[in-house]
Amino acid sequence: MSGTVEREAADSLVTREGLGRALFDSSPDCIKIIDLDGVLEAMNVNGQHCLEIDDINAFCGNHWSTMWPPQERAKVNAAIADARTNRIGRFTAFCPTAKGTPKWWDVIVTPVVGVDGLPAHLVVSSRDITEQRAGEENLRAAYDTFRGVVERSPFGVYAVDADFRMALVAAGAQKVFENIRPLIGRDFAEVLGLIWPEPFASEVISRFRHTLLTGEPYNAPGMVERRRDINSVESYDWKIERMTLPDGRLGVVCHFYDLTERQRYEAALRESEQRTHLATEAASIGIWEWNLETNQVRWDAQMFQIHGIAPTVDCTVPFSLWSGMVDPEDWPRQERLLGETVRRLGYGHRQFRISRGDGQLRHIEAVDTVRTGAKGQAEWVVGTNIDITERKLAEDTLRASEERLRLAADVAGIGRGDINYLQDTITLDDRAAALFGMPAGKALPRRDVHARFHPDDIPAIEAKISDSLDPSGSGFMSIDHRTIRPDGSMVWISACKQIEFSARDDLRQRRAVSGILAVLDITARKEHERQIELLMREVNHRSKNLLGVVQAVARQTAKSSPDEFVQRFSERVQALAASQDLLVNSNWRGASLADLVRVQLAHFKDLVGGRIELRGEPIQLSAPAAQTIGMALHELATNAGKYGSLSNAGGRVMIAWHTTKEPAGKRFEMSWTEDGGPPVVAPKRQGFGSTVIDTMAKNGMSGDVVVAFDREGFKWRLECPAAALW
Amino acid sequence: MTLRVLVVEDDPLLAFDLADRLRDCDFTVVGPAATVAEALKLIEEAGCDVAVIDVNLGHETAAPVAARLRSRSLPFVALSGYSANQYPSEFAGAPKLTKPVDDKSLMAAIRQCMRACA
Repeated sequence: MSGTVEREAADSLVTREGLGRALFDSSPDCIKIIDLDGVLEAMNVNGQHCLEIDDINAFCGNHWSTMWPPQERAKVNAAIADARTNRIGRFTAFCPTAKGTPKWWDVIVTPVVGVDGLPAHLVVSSRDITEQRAGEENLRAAYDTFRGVVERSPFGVYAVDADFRMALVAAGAQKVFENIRPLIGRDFAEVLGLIWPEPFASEVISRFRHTLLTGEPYNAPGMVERRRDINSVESYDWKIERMTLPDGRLGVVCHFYDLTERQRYEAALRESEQRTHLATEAASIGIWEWNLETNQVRWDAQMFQIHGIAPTVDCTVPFSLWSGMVDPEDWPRQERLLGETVRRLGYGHRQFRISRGDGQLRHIEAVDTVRTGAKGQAEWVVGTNIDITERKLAEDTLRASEERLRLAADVAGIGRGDINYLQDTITLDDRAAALFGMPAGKALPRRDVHARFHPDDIPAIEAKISDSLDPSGSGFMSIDHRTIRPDGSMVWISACKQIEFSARDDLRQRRAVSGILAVLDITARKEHERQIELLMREVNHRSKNLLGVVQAVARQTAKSSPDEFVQRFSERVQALAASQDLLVNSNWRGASLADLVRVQLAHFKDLVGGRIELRGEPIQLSAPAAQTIGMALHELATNAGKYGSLSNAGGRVMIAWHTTKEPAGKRFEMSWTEDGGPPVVAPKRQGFGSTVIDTMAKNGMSGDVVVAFDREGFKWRLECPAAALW
Repeated sequence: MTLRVLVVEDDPLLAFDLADRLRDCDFTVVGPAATVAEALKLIEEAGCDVAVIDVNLGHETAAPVAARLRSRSLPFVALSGYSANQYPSEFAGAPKLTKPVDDKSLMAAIRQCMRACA
C-alpha cells in the first residue's frame, strides 16, 4: 500500500543526491531511511543481506524500533530523538537478524536537513560489529585468563613489562617478594636491589634486560645467596623468557623454583630414608639353626644374602663354611664366646667381621640361644645375624669426628658442660668439673653449680644469663668470672655458652631446652694481668717518689753548697740513678751490697782492689736500703776524693761489712775506714753530705752511725738491725 | 708559739727535706717518723697540732696514723706517689698531695686542713 509511495519518496531523495545514492547502494553497512517519527522508509540491499531480510516490504512502513528486541528499544528511540533535534544519535546494541542470527550493531542516526533547514528525514547507518566485539571479548577473556592463571599459580612465576616494571606476580612467587611493597608497577631493578646483594642483583638485572632486548631465553644454574632484606640464605633454580604480555607489549617472564624448600624436603627425605634403612636392616635379620650333633647349620634366605653366597638346595651349610668366613682375627674370640654360650646353655651376643663370598668385609651382629634336648643337653644353637656394616661405619665416622673435637678441646684445655633446662641441671666433663670443684659426669642442679660463682661476679653473670635466655636473642653468652671451689681455692674462668631453644618459629613458644657450656681456666692469665697492673702501679709510685727525692736533693744541695750546685747536684742525681739501675736490673728484688759499693765508687773504679779494699759477705739490700746506703757511699767517696785518703797519691780506704748474731736478732755492721791521706781536720759546718751519711743513714736504717774525724784517717760506721736491710 | 707539725715519711731523704722545709716556714717539726709505730708514739708522747703524712711507709700504710689523728680531731695532709684513687679510706676528706710537692702547695694544704678543723 503506502510502501510504494514511501519508496518513491526515498527514491527521490537518493536520486536528488547522486553521491548519496552511490553510498546508499555500495555501503557494506545497513543504511536505512526513516521519517521523523521513526517509521522505516527504505533500506539498502546490503542492509537487507545483513539483516537476512527476504522481503523488505514487510518492514517498511513500520516503526524502526519494532525491528529491535524490546530491551534495546529505548536506545533506538533516544537516538531518533537526538537526530530530530539536529544532533547525531549513536548507540551500540544487540539485535538478531530476521532469521535469528545474533548480532551486535554500532548504530549512527543522522538527520537529513530539508529546504527549510529543519530535519526532514533521518538516515540510519548500522554496522555489524558482532565479530569485532567477539574478538575484543575473546581478547579480554584471554587476558583475564592469563592473569588469573599466573596470579593464582602456586609456582614461582612473575613478569616484568617492557618498561622493566613488575607486571605480574604469581601467588607462588609472593613469598619471595613479601617484603617489597608496593610491588606491582615497581621498578624491577629496584626490587632486586632490595632483595639481593651485589653483584648478584646486577647480574640478574642484566640477564633480564638481555632477554627483553633479544628474546633469548636464559636458564640459570641453581643459585645460593644470602638475602639482604631478611638475611637468610635461599637457593633457587630459575629461567626467563620473553613473551607478549596482555598489554600487547613484550615482557620477560621468570619461572623459578625455590630450592630452599626442596633442600629441606630432601633433608627430611634423607632422614626418612635412613629410618627406612634401619627398619630394613631390622627386617633383614638372618636366622640360623646350628645342629651341634651334625655340625650343620640351617640358614634362611636372608643368611645366604648376608653372606653373599647362593642358597644351597637344602638351605644347609657345614659349620666350617660359616666359621671360615669369620675374619681370622675375630674368630678365636667368637669361638670362645660361642663355646661359653653352649656350655652355659645360655644366651650370647657377639659382634664380628666376615669376608663375604664376594670378598666384601661386613660387620655382623649375632645373637645366640641354646636349645636343649630331652636330657637337658645342648642340642641346637639358634640365633640371628644382622649386617650392621652401615651402622658401624656411621658410628666410626661419628666417633672419629667426636674424637677430633675432643682432641681439639684437650689441646685448648677447654672443659665442657651440658645444660638441660627442662631438668634444670648441668653435667660437667672432667675438666669443667675440676674448675668448679664438683663431680664430673653427673647431672648437677644448676643452682649448685651457680653457688660456686664468686659473690662479686654474681650480678654480672646473672645479667648475662638472663640476656642469653631471651628467646628473641642469639642464645649466646660469654663472660670471664671467678669460681670458689669447695676447698676455698679461687679459679678464673672464661665461659662461653650457647643455648638451644625449642619451637623456633614461634617466639612466644620458644623456650630454652639445652645448652653447651665451654669453660677455660684463665687463672694464670688473670694473675699475670694482675701482676702487670700492680707493677704499673708500683712504677708510678716509685717514679713519683724518686722525683720527690731528686727535688729534695736539689733543694738541699742548693742550700748547703750554692757555689758548686750544678756539679754536686748532677753527681748526686747520678748516684741515685746508679742505685736505681741496680734495682731495675734485678726487677726491684733488691741489690747486692758489693755491687752497690762498686757503682757508687765508679769514679775510683781503677782503685778498687788496690787502694780501695772491699771486704764483706754477699748481702742483698731492699730498694729503700739501697738508696740510703748508696747515697751515703756516694757522699763518703766524694769527701774522700776531695779531702780524705783518695785526695792524695797513697791513701787507702777499707770498706767492710758483716752480719752478727745477737740475742735480740741479727745485726748488720758496715764501716768506711780511711788512712794514709792528708791530716784530717773536722769541717767547720755541717753540709748536706754530712746529713746524708749521718742523720739520714741513721734514720733510714733505724740504726746508729758513728762519724770520727781521727787525725790519721776519717772513719764512718753504721750499725743496724739486719732486718732494716730488707 | 709556733705550730708543731708531725712529719711521717719513711724515705730518709724526703723526711729530712720535708722537715727542713717546714722549719724554714717557722713550724716546729715533730719527728720525722718512718713507721706507724713511731708516729703513734710521737702523737702520744710529743703531741702535735697538724701532720704531714706519707701514705705508704714501706711495707705498711699510714692509715692507722690518720685514724688516730682523726680520733683526736687533729688535721693532717696526705702525701703519696700513688694516684688519688689509690688512697685508703682513712684519708677521705684530707688534702692530698702527689709527690713531688712544692713548698707553696704544701703550705696551702696545711692551711686548708687546719681551717677545716678549726
